[in-house]
Amino acid sequence: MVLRGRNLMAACILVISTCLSIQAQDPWASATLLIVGKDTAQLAQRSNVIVTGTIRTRETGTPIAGASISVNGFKFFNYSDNNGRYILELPKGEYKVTVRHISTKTDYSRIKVLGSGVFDIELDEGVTSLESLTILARPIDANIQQSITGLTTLSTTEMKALPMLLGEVDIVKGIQLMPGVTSIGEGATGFNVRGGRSDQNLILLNEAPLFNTSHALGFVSSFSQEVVDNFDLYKGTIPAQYGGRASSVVSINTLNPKPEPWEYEGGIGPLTSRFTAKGVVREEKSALLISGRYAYPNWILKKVSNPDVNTSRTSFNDTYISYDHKINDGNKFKTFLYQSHDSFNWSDKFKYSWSNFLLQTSWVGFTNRKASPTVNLTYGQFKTTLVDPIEPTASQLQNCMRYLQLKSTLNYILNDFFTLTGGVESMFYFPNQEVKKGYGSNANLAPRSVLKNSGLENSAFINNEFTYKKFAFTLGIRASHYLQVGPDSVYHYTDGQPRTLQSVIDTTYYEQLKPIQSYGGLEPRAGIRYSITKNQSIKIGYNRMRQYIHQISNTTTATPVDSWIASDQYIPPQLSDSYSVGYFVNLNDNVWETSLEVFGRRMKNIIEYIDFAQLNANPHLETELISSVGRSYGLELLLRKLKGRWTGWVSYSYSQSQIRTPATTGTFSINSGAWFPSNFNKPHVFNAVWTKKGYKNGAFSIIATYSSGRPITAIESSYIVNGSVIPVYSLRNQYKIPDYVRIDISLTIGNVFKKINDSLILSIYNLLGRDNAYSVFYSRPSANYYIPKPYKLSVLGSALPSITYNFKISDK
Amino acid sequence: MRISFRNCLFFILAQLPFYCISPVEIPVEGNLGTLVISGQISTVEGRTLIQIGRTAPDRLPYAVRGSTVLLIDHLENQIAMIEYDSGIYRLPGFQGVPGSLYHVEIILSTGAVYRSQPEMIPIENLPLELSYTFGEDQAVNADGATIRQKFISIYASTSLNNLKNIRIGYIVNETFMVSPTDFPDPFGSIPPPCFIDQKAEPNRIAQVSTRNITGSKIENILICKRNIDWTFLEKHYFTAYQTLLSEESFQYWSRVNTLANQTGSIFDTPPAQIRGNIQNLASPEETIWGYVQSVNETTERFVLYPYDFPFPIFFSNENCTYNPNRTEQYSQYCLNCLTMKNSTLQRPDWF
Repeated sequence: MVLRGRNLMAACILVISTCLSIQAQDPWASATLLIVGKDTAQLAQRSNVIVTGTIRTRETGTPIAGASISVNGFKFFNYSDNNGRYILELPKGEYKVTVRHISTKTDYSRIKVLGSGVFDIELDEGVTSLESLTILARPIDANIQQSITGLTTLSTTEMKALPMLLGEVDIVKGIQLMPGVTSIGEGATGFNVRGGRSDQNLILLNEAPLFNTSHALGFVSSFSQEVVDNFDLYKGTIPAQYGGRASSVVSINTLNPKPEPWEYEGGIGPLTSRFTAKGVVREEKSALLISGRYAYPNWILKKVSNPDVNTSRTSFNDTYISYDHKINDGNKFKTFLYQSHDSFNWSDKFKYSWSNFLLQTSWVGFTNRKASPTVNLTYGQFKTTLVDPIEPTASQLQNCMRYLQLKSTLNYILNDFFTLTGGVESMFYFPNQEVKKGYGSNANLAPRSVLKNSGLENSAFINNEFTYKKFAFTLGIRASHYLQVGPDSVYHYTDGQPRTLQSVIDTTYYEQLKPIQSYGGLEPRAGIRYSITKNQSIKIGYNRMRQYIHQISNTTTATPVDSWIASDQYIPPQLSDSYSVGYFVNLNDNVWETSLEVFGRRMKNIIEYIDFAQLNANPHLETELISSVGRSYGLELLLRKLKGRWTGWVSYSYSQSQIRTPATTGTFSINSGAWFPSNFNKPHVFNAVWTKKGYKNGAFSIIATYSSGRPITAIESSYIVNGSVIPVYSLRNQYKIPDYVRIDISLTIGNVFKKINDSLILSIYNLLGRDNAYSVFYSRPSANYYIPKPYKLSVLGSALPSITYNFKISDK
Repeated sequence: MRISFRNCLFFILAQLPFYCISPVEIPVEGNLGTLVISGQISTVEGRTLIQIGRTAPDRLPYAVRGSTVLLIDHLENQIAMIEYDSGIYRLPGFQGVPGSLYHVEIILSTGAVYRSQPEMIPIENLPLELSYTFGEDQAVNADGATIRQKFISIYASTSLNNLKNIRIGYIVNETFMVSPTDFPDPFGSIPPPCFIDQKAEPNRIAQVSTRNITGSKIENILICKRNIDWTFLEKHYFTAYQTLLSEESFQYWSRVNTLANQTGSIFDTPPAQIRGNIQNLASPEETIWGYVQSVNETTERFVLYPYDFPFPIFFSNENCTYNPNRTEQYSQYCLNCLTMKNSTLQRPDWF
């Protein structure tokens, strides 16, 4: 996306500050004159030439979006796009260039333009104003100028300023502080965006889909802070290059290794440690980044008095390796590998493990700086094992979803006002069979394998961004097609009856790669911005999304070991239509950012489950599922302070997320076909984040969060049969658990040791020690008391302190 | 006292909470006064009964009296059951015939007629062998202290007799005697003992489906785990019932078991209403809770005396023996043993 809003106020400030700078001291005086382009005869005939390049940080090589580049004052001016690229059209000649970004020091260069050519710029990290703490990785007025609604961008710098559980900078926890994003609670995997389910979020790590983003039951996200550069959360208008999920997109970008001297950084904490090394492999050609993280919480578990806890074991690790190789100025190859593994053994009562694996190789072309093609080839795998060691039916269940992805994208910058992004994408899902077999000494259980659906999802997309007077448009369309292929056994059921084992009338077996079922359609995307004034805008957005792969989870919240299944004859793609309208105002020279967004979403073919559904190793899975419709709506308010000695935001969301199983599904309709709240429906959510900069890169932060209790199905009465108490539950999700309140604080002490770039982070998660309810369950009846009593389970029952030491060592 | 950094760190880490469980108020409303009809038709004499009640807030259902309960077989033969206790109907001397279909028809005093789905008593009857072991668990008491709790585990084994795809349920009842405190009195009278008959482990619903089991025998299925307490100070009977169930009945109890095992964790199956097999003939949409099952039962029983335990059992506070030097108050059941749940003065024949 190109940020091309010509914010007059920003321009004025830049002009004034530039003039003041010139009066005080000529910053270009010490700049070396650089030659750009070649003075060829052909080019000499043209009046203007094209100068393009990429603006990056000197330290990490990360492209900088939204940096302003001005030539000879404001004679020629533009902003860099999301990939840090800029383009200027100017006559040949000698110029003074000023490049500014809110998170870096201003760069002053002198260039002599002989013809069209490339001029790459590196900026030193730092802040432009000594009196301010600014942690934005985007133009400061981006919320006003962007044409799409519901885009949230956070950088690692911003996330590092937040107090986090166990001192781990966590993308997922950061996302949950944004309006419109909720989660079931601590220990829950995934998050919910504007009433969507967690499996409706497309999580992309460098464009490669990830099926699970959590470690340790959701306490820690899968992404190490040394690897992640920034992320974008699209919850409103979603550009057409993204598809395959019905709710939102989280695009996570990792750091690009640079061919520069080696750097080493890491962190040591009581439960986890991490280490990253990055640097040159071949001078000016190739660079490597290796990062690893390992958790060792068992020594603490052993010290807890509760026998269930001290006999439990858990661990996780992840590894990220990235290799960049520059073939020439126009071609670059990138390869990365990511793996993560978790294991958990709860008091020998159950065990599970899951692992992610991604391997991607990419080609990035720079042959023409106006058009930059990218081709990614990715192999992904998500493997889970769930062990039930209780005799006599001790068993283990194994699932493995695998995919191959090929995505080709062309980004074309026509001029300052028009950008085109187009491409094609293919995803082939080929999961392993689901296997359930005996475990341990128990060999009584006969092994059982169930075929899982394979399918090919093909998409073509084009996205167009342009401005016209006070309007800015993002218009795109994505055409997607899905084909389920063999091998698979398709069961046929009696028409007009609920699907049960008794209503199976025939079975058809399809061989390898034989077409079985296809779906497809167009997915229009649109975002329109109207600038009322230079610091006020109104936006509207619309999305249609199709989702061909689904998480199968009959628990209150998604668990890390839930399996995924591609669409088939009985599981049509989920379809969502989302609408949003927003009003955005920035105040006091962009110090304050405010917004009000209203959204609505309708969903079809979302998966619900019959009561007591049996999902594991079930070849007749369709008999346990109900195709449902969903709706969500709400409003989001945000007040954010972007500059000054303290920064932060306050947000409030009101929303409703509801589901209905139409009566046509026969006897299995839930709550008699009436709308009922989804498991994660939290109408009121309030977040406040406050960060104050301290001495020597130190900082102090506070987070306060409140949300309504989520729905539960409660016991209304009980009766006894054969001495056993039978609870009578309410209709689904008719009651709610108590509200959630939490306050966290964090203190960062910079420069602990003089000769090392380091910091010590002290944080307390859940400062009030509040035992927020994660869930409510009912006590088992005892000989003395037959009526089940409600109890709340709090994942964190008191304050959780942590200490983490971070360091960075460089060969520079 | 010098406080080192290491000690501080350990102090902080010792506070680490992992989870906690505490009572909570969830105000509920509605769904009260719903009819509950449950029971079974059994092949064992005295084990056929039907119970009728209506749900009540924060207590067990109150009995519905004065109904007519008819037991009907597949040949439309019918017998009227007798109301022995409030809302409890029995059929003395009746033994269900394996292979026969049975259902019950209930006519309330209001005239409303209800009927259960006919169920066949499984033809098969399997032998039952019991065994038991003693063990010790660590647990955390209400004060957070770790305590040791001794228990007895009872196991069932059975031969499958080449039968495939059968469903078995187990119930273990306990029967023990409570002798009230014999306080000195001028007449020298001795208060009569009470006999308590109840499910030994109310939470456990032991079930086995042989669908995925290979082999000709099922061995050592844990069917009851009972903590050792003062009730074992006198002789203590355990009676195990092995019931062969229909597929529907098995599903019903599986769901009850699922709900009974809720712990609030992320792996809990979402709870839901458990529909039974009773219907109002005039108004089929009426919600009725409960299930009437037809079962083929096998019974085994054993007794334990205090000297059977491999460890001494002694519970001073719960002991009802008269002691003139005792300072603590006697428990309520020492004064009047009929205050205990499921107690009666009637001694079972076999006790």
